[in-house]
Amino acid sequence: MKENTDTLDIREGYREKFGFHDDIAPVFKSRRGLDQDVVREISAMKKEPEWMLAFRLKALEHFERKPLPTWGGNVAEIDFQNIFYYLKPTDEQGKSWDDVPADIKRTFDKLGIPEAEQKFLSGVGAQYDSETVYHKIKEDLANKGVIFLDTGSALEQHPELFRQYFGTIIPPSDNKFAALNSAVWSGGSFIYVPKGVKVDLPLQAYFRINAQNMGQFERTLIIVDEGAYVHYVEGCTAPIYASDSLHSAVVEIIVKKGARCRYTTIQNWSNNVYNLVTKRAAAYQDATMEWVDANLGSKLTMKYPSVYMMEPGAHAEILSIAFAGKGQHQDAGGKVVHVASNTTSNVVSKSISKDGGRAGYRGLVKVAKGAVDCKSTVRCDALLLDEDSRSDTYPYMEIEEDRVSVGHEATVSKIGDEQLFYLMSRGIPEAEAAGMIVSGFIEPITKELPMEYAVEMNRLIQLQMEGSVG
Amino acid sequence: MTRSETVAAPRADLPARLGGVNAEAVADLAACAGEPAFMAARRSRAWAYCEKTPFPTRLEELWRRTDISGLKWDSLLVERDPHPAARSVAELPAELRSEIGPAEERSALVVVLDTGVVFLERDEALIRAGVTVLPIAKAAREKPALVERILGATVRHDESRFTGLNAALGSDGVLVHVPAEVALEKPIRVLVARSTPDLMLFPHLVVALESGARATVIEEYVSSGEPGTAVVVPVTEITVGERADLHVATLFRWAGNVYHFGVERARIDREGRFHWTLAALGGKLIKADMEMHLEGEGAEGKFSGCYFGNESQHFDFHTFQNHVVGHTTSDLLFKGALRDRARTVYQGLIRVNKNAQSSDAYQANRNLILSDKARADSIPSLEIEANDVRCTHGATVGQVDSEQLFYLMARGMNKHDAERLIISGFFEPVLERIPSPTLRALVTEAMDRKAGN
Repeated sequence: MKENTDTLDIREGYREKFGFHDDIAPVFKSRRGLDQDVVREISAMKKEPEWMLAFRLKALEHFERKPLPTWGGNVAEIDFQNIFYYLKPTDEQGKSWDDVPADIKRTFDKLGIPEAEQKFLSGVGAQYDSETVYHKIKEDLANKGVIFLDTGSALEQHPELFRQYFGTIIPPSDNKFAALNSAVWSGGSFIYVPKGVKVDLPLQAYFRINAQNMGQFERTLIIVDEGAYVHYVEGCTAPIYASDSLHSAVVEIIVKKGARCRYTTIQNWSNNVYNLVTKRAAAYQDATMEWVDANLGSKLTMKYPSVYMMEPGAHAEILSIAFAGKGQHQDAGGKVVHVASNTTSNVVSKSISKDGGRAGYRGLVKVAKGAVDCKSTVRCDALLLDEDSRSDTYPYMEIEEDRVSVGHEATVSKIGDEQLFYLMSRGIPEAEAAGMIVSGFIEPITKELPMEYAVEMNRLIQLQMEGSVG
Repeated sequence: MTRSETVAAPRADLPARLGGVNAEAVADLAACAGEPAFMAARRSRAWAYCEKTPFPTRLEELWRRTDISGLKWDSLLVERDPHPAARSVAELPAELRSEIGPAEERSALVVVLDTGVVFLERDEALIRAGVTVLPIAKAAREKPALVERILGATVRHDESRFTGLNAALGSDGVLVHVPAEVALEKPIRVLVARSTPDLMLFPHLVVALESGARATVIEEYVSSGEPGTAVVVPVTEITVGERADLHVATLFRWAGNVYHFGVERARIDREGRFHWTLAALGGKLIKADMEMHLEGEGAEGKFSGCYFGNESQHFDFHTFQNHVVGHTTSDLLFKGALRDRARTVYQGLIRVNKNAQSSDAYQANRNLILSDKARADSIPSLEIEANDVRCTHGATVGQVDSEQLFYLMARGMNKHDAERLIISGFFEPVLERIPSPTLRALVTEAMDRKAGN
């Protein structure tokens, strides 16, 4: 058996629950590999304006020039010339649920999207392969002036607004993978929340990788105008394939004066996906940005959601969970950058490693020159469930001012024998007790999730935990 | 009763500047020093390594925060004629005499000035017990088997261009060897000083304790600010045998023109105990690797360090607590204060290797920033591959606690004095471990001076 499929088997139940794969004939598929022609082809297919093509080509230059990172995880095995960079499953974007092709619907059914929509959701942006095929926004949201579109449509329909913000938070030159995304992006969500509008229900989109060797390069841009609020939820599951897939997204968020944005991710790619994502938010005066970032799947995740506090009173929260099983490396974390005075940040990281997995926290707290009276606390806890696993903590603190208070604390431990004994003495089997302890360990973060996500999260943790003890 | 000896070694005809050094010159250096064949071979291997290894650049993770690209290496001197040997402490330069203090505070004293040992003094009792405190070249002639076994066994010549240069061009180092079950009550002092402008120094200290031995070593680096660029590339190798107990105090008291690129590494065997005290005050730029490798079960390593940077000083410390095997304990506390435009970097790593079960590791870095122009980076990292462990670390960066300040000012103290008192209280737990009253007083005074201006 090939090593790749081998690593997948340990996540028992995964294949049945999430590893399905429907055969869909894509309408358009770019050839494998990446060069100027592929980029031009993508841009032409999407009928983009000239400036976007120029942006993409410039980004491609950055991508080609930048070396692969030598820190973090092993990305040397990614064969960039053996990846499809663009694939559009259907011609037209679905106007309503009925227009979505039946086989694509079947995939969604397995994921439970329509039911979810009936219950809680205010809009569904479901990304199937690299193009969003379905979008529906409840009328009241549209009436309030909230824009919730796939990113490509937003470029078409709101060119001015789009160009004003696109690429301003994460320039293509930021890092190699942001450059790659900038060159070949397709799909993703675009959200604009006007001044003072509070979106009560979370906006969600499901992302899926479907075709083998299909890179997913979605691009999300969220603008929360003054005094507004939005909670965006992103969750992903992917079918299982034998060869490695690449997911390299870019998420840019602007949180204006007095606004608040929460961005929740449950990342559960299959164990052959490289998940190399750049996420960054700029928070202005008295604004709050919150990242809730849970990483359970993928072969390698390198993702450090960041918040730049640009004006006084801005606040950043990062809650991060990393769970690494066999063959997995979760290099998760976060960055908080205090650019302005009187800004505060709080980072909580929980990482769990089992069956030889490697999970960790890599983070940055930076207080820039001139930013005084800043306060930051970072708390990292790691659980190691067996002797084959590994936990890393790499917190970077760069402080250029004196009137600050910055603290970092971290612990690494195993499941406490006393806790296990306590539960087992009450008749709970060891495996279940261990699962409960892990659930309790990450509870500070799961309690921040919307209810159905908390349920899904706990289910995923249970799947990860099965057979872990004894 | 102490005994002083004349020990200056003959010098080779090295090309005077680093840019002119070649393989023949390195071979001559070994020949002139009368070194045994294994040392000559080590020098030429090290030089061959240097020829293909550039200086580190900011592309390397551990050098990202320290830029040395402006140093003009090739024009630095790498030799000078030996200073005349001193026959007593009284004959040493005045600025060194003040560091030394009364004879009762030590069991041995070695003074290295620029390229050679200029003074050596040892208690009779220490010699009778079989303890070796000698220049390395002399030790190699007297006890070749011992030197061959421990020289370069802890810090290899091929780790970086700096360790390579140290091994290839080092003029004379100091070897301290304490035989099994010998306990020394009083510290051994190793004083490394410099006085020649533009001279590059390669001090080398080897400290080896055999099983059950007990000793204290103070290594001190000092200068009074000769003109020119002063570059020092020291290597310190420490081995603590089974059940041995060693305390090393490392003091950086350089003048403000010194660039220091050092590697200090201790390996601790089964049930060995190692205690390290560091105080860093002087120097223009200090980049120091300080490592403890716990290699035998029951080994214990403790590290208490403090640094105070002012003006435009740049300190970059990298500490490493490596739990190679299980049932080992390490405990590290690193305290720093910064004022003016000083910049400090603390990068610490705890690694618990696979199978190093039942390890207990602690690491804390506390920084006091006393000026808005100072900058402190702190990167306390963990890499844990065993699960039955207790590993905790913490780091803080902040200013003088306002409540403490208020408490003192409410008792009539002015702000300046109150701050000074708080800073001296911050450092005291580390400074009180310096095992020489003379040095403790000197370091404390220097710290207070930095806190007060």
